[in-house]
Amino acid sequence: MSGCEGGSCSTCGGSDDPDRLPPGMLKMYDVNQSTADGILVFLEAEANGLSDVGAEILGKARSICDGRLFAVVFGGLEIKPLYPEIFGYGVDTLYHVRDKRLETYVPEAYAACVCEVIARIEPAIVLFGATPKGRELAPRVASSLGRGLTADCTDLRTDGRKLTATRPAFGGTLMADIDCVGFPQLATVRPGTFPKPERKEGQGTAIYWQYTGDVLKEIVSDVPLPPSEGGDIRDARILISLGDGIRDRSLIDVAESVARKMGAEVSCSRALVEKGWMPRSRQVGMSGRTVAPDLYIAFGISGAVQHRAGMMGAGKVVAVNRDADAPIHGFADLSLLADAGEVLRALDRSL
Amino acid sequence: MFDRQRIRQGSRYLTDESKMTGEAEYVVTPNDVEELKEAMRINHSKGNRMTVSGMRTGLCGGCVPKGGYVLSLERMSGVIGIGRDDRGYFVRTLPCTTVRELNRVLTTRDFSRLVDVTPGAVDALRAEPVPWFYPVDPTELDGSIGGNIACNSSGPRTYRYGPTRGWVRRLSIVLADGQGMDITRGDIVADGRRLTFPAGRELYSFEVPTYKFNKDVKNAAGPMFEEGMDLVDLFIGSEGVFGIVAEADVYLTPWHPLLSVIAFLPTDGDALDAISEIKKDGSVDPEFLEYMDCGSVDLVRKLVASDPAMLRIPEIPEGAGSAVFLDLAETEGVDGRLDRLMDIVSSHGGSPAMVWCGHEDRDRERMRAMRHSIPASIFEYVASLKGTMPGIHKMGTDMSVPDDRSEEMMAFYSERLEAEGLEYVIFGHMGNCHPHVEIILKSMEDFEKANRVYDEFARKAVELGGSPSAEHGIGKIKRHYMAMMYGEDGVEELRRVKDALDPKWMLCPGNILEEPR
Amino acid sequence: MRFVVFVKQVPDTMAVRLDGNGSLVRDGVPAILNPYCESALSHILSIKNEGDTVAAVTMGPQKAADALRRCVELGADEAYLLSDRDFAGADTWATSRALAAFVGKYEPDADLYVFGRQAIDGDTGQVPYEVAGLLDVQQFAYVRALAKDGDTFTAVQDYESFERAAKVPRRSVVSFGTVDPSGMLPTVEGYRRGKAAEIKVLGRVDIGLGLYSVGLKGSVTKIVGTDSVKAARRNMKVEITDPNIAAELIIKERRAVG
Repeated sequence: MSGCEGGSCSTCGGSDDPDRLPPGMLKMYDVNQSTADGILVFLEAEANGLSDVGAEILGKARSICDGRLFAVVFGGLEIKPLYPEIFGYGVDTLYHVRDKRLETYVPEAYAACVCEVIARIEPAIVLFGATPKGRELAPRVASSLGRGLTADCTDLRTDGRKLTATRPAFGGTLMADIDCVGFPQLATVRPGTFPKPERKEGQGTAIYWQYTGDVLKEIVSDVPLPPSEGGDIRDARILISLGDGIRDRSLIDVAESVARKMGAEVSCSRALVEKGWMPRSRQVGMSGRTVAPDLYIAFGISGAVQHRAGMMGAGKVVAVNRDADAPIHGFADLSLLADAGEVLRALDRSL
Repeated sequence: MFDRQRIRQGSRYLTDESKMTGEAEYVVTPNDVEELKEAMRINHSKGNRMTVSGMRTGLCGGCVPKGGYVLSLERMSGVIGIGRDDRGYFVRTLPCTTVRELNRVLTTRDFSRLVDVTPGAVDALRAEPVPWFYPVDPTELDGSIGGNIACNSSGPRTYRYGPTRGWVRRLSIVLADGQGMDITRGDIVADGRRLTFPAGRELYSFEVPTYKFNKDVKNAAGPMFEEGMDLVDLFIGSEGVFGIVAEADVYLTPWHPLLSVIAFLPTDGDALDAISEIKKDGSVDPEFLEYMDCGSVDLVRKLVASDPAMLRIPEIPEGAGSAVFLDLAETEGVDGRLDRLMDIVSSHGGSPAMVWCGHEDRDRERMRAMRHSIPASIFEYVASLKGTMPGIHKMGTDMSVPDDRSEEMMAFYSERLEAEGLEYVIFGHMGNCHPHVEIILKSMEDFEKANRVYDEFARKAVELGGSPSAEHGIGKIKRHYMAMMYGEDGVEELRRVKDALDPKWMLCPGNILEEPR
Repeated sequence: MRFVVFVKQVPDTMAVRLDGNGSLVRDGVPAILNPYCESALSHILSIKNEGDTVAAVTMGPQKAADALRRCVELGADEAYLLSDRDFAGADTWATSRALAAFVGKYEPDADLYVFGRQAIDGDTGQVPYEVAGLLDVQQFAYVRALAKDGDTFTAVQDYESFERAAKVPRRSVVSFGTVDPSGMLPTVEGYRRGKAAEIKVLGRVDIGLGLYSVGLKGSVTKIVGTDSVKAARRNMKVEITDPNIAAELIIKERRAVG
């Protein structure tokens, strides 16, 4: 465990904490300035290749970084065919952790490896996709290093090596710019935030890495889950989104039927995920997905600020909610003060 | 100029929660009181009959049109301002504001858009240490305040706070011919049995009926009349037949935190005994007092089993038969009240582990939802029968009796229902001796039987000195109770009042009174 | 067995509204126990046996004691409140550090350290894994179910693309990923326990951290700027309640996007 345990001492802690030196001293003598440089990106490989978010982050990283771009990826032989693509996105050096024991995902060991790679290359910035794995690994890495981590960023800027990450705060009503103290600076990046760069082949250095630790998990089984029916709600051009105002479970079937007839996908707010009526992969909002369809039709969604954060980028928003004071009406292009269930049924009939 | 739209078949303007359907040509949606007056004036002169409609949550078809136009007040919604007089704070609101919204504004102190009705009232209320609120809880929180006034709504909290009537300070009324007036309680009272008042450029006058309106039990059967009555009272509980509420001031009371308690007990008798003991004892002092019989609790149990996410409550404990549901003020002395309650519960076979007790709003909301799910699920069940059994509708009673006749009434319910072989559940406002008996219909034959016993129940309630319509009102469905309660003479008196205020019978035709041939 | 459940008090975000200018109206928004934390607690209470004990811990201002009372109401046996002026402004790292220091001093040998996936007000979801890292113990994320078989636990984890069942050793960090749809209600006994609960308040010195290790000073992320977000929308409110007309309007919008 790190940190001071000796009582009320105030002299230990991060050695480059400017609060503890006389004002201006750091700047004047340039002491303790880290030589960290470059960006390290944690990549996830999926069955059909590199994950989209990995490519998105590499594209962004390359565009904001003049220095070296590193990547770290875990897996066996199946990773090799991905090299040209990874290098094509501008990666100079790829650390490929090839360890039989880590062919299944072990968060503690993965984090330890990422830390070792960080110690070796001293990057200024380390980026992860805000995926289930990335959101679990990044904090573990950050706490091992005692460094700052900004979750779920929607924008990244650098000033030389210094990273400023932007993330929605206060339920998406504010965008907060967040800096990290010291190096490296860590962030997880929300999938779908940056455009996926054009795919081209490239060349670079690949380095095999071995896990030196021995923390492994006793895994009983790993069962792949089928991707949820229908497409990814982030790709949908039209979304029919359901909220707490949907009181009757059978309305979900009606909504799906309407969606089919309209060429739309069905998404939802947090309330329906918590009820267990919809899978999390269909949730729009801060704790779900960010979507930007051309048309977003919200049925019975009250429009909690967290929800708003996930759909602000929509082209046109239609809100159907009989509660005239529901916040959703405040950020809809068209507000219909009708009963969500009845409108869904009427749509189903008339389409 | 007010908006007018043609009504199409199947439009929601043609029905309400009674699920009876009516007919109308157009719906008129005024934006403010001036448009409302204009709409009434023009249509009155054209001879178009107007049925007033708010949130359409009524259970007796009061807003279901019988030809003519629907006058929907849906756009006249929102809280206007805050005022203060000797009695305390009051809120001025448009008629279609829901009770839920009204209390949301008040309890969250969302006052940014409100104006001072009396100088400095908004700031003063904002500075109060606890928020004030409107305490009449009609169970259906999405009903409009105007509708609540027109029906003199009551609900579980009537046990402590009484019905809507006691909370109305001032009304803006638009009469059938489009004349308007603002009346505050005390402004205009009857001179003995003659009530004369001006509105706009006209003068109206009528003879106050002599029938006895029973104020001692919970009663929503028709308008209240008495010697020297206040004009404001004419428009409370008269279901829109005399005038339209265009704006209302209702009094508020300081909010205090509440504790909701659901105590599960072994049998129906245990719960009924516990309730009468709580009432007699006095030291528990609940805000409301509700009963759920074993059938109701079983119904909830089934709902939870079929979809735990629906009600968001834990499983009903094993061994729970019936239940008592009440709220206690979580103020000084709550421990003593709770102790006394637990004594009573224990002495009737309950145990502390089988008593739910929520003080956070979201818990109380869930407990309330559980209680509300009983009629709601029966309603849905009966609605599902409509496909094969057209014409069927939910059969739930709404009858109150005086305290000392409650046992007799309860015995009569079960005796008659069992004799007819009908399945039923009983739950509701036992604190006011006003349970709801819901008959679970299986066939059209059941429905006919139910209609028969329903009438017997109503007669019995009247005979015992109670009301056959304690809170749902009369509307169009229960019109025949008027004669049952007040006799043909009483109804005739009432017709004469209608003649005086709306000689052409243009306003809300068919509510309370049969239209003249 | 000993379970330590870490919880957070949050504003009930479903009740947070925006005013006309798009700013948050926070007045009157109740503070509640984070639903993910409540579910985590409820999972633990459901596997707890006779003799097992559950401690609830939170870091926050004095009024966060209400969230702990809620835990005791629902069945927790003990409650610790880490509260100190110096803790103010803590980011996830400083929070995790305080929680880990608390574990080191007061609960070094619990069977499980339990979290909810994230707080509904911040949504960072980092603290469980930062604490796991600091304690150098195994972490189990997105747990959907936790079974107890004698002295061993098996967790079922939902990683969206796959589901994992894994053995959970003692002293692990377990983070529950779901909200229990039915939820608990306190009993009258629980209500009284909650009201009478002794909340043990611990400050910075109690957990043995220096002034520069906690709160704003101990944080490694800084908010350097904020920008309010306003979406320009046409905002046409059509007050029709007829579902058929509403449906027609929606179909029109659908056609408009091609």
